[in-house]
Amino acid sequence: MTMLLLAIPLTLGTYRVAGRLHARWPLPVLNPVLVTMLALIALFLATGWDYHVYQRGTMPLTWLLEPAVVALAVLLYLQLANVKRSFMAIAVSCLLGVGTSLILGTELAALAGGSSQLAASLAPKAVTTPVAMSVAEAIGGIPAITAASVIVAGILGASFGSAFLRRLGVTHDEAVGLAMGASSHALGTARCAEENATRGAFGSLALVICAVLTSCAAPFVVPLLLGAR
Amino acid sequence: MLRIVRDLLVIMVFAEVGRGLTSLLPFSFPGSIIGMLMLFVALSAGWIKLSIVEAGAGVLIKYMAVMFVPIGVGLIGYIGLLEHNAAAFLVSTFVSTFVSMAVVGGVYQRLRS
Repeated sequence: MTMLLLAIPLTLGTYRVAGRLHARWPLPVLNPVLVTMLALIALFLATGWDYHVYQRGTMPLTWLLEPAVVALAVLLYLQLANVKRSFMAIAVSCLLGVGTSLILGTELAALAGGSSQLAASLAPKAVTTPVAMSVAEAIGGIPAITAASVIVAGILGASFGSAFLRRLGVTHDEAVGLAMGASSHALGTARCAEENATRGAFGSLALVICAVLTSCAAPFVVPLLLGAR
Repeated sequence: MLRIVRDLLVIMVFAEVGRGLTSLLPFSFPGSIIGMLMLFVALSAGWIKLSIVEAGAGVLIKYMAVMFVPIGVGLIGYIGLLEHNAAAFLVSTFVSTFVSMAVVGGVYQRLRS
């Protein structure tokens, strides 16, 4: 009962401390979401508390995710002129990104010794959870593994994405946003929106385009790759 | 404050309608993305004014990152499953995330310059 009531204050409090830590030492590994998740996971593992109760207690927070994704439309609308101007470049980059993600996700899992069921579960991880899970199910993967890899892909992008892209010389705001949305879905986009509105808008755009492309392409591409092995 | 509440209500209507529409689709697709597209179309077509969603959208987007924490904590439930497949899981997830990120960012930046 206590946990049920404390779940949200515990989350927000930890997040706040993590935010201060990140403000003091702005390192990618100190990404506030990453630190908060790891701290809470460590807490539940150490104490043996039931994290299901925590998850029930944080339902209102999780429930806000849907309206938050809807709200991204505002960023997109504010960038409408820029989106129209570079639509071809956006479409080409997202198409290549989805192709890379599906092929590497499948092939690397198989090369590292995973079964084809595992490879199919990991293929669609770059897109938002509901799309990724239903795609995984359609191509013979295990949706639970997909859900886990979607979170890991999101965390990786949100924490290390902008530093990684900067090192590669990708600093154009539209390019960074698009790259983060394409590889780390809503989590990468949320991080982009914190950085600036252009990144947030292009992240949202990639989120939408890549979700559509992945659900169309994966049912053909992944079985083809697995069949060829 | 009242303005934010009104904005949130408008956004939630879009989220709910989006969710309702998913049940009519022959394939599964997130209601939130349909809601986002509908709100985008409504704004672009001038059916609703930016000012009736802007402040609320700002608040939601500002706090969006923390909403992922409970989902991430849910990884605890997958520990057993992941232990058996750790190598394939990690290699596939790490490499394909960063490579596809580099491809999208690099290609777009080159096409635009």
